[in-house]
Amino acid sequence: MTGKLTSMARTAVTERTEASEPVGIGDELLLERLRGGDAAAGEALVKRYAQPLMRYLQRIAGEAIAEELHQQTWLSVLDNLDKFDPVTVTSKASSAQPVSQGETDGELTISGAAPPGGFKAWLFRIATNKANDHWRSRGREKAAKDGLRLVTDESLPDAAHRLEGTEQEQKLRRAIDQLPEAQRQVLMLRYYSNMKFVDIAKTLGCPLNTALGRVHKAMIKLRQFMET
Amino acid sequence: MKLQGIAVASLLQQLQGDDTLLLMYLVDELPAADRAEVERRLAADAKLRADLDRLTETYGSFISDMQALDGGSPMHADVSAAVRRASSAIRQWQARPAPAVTYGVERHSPSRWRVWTIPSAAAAIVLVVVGVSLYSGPTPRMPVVVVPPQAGPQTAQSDDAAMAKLITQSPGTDALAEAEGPGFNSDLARDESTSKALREDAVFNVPEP
Repeated sequence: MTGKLTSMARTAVTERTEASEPVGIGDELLLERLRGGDAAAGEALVKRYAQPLMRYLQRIAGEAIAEELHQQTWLSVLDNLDKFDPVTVTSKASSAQPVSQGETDGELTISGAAPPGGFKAWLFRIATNKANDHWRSRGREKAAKDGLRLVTDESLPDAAHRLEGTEQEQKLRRAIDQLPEAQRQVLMLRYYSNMKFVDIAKTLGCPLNTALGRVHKAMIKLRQFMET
Repeated sequence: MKLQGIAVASLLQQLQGDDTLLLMYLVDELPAADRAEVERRLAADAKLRADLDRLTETYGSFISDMQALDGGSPMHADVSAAVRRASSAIRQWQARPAPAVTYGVERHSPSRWRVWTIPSAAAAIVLVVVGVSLYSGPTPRMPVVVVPPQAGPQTAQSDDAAMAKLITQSPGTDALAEAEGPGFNSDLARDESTSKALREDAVFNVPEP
């Protein structure tokens, strides 16, 4: 039974992996072309990651702000294009502060070489930083530390989405919103980027055990919420 | 709670507790040696197998729920808008004017080039002044141009008169001559002191690269 369930879970992960993995020209090659002035290569990268990146930003920052954060992410990619090195691993990325403490310093931690996982990890790292910056500017981090749930207009699905989807989907959406910020971030990052946990931990600057623990707790909480 | 009686591998050492270990095992991200260890442990520990079953069900439910959530809330319009905006930014970035290229010189921002312009011009002026003063002033260090005998006495006299006139008209010449005593080439001293002052000024005012 264990083997069957394990196989099922792996299949679910694999199917989603195969569906989300881009085919064709690799990221690094497109990036190199973009550096050379090939705008079409950049647009190809944008399209490749638009859906998972937008979904990720919607889940962690809210639907109203996701597009703006998406734009800021790509602007930051362009600003730091010359500094991205898919081969080298930077000590800055590996020693960055944990996400939960909100001490990532935006572009400072992404300047230099890329974290493990290549361009995708770098892209999602930038997006995470932008979302954290948004959080800090809105004061939500302080509220979270104080044990309060600051629900702003950005965190609530807009009226159109609220009416869409089944009751289960709405329930899950609310459950995700109620997760602690750090847990939600790691869980959504895992789901939408499909990065390995080792890479996620290095990208976010937290120990591997911490990243796994957050995902595990988040899944347990979601399940408990959905079963009530 | 750490696993007991298991020879820990590099990744296992980072994992504290069965939950994190089983999660890594479930998603198949353990190195082969670590995986073999976990399977050996699973074969011998019924509780551990039960924990894995629960985790598998939880993880599978999460994946399924997320797929249903995303499938039930299509975001084609949102993604299209985001792609358009980002693509526009990329085109603008690609079309930006390239910074000026100066051969053999490191590329700087336009503001830094403006900072360099004035000191560079001042240095060029100084060099010209120094060159002119050294060339025009009578000094034993300068190469002496021998006038051929064909030059008429009238020409030599006119040159001497012009030089004398130039010397007498130089400001401060008499004072310098008095200060330094006879035989002192006051005109040369004035030019040298001026040139030195200009050089010093240029040195202290040229910003370092």
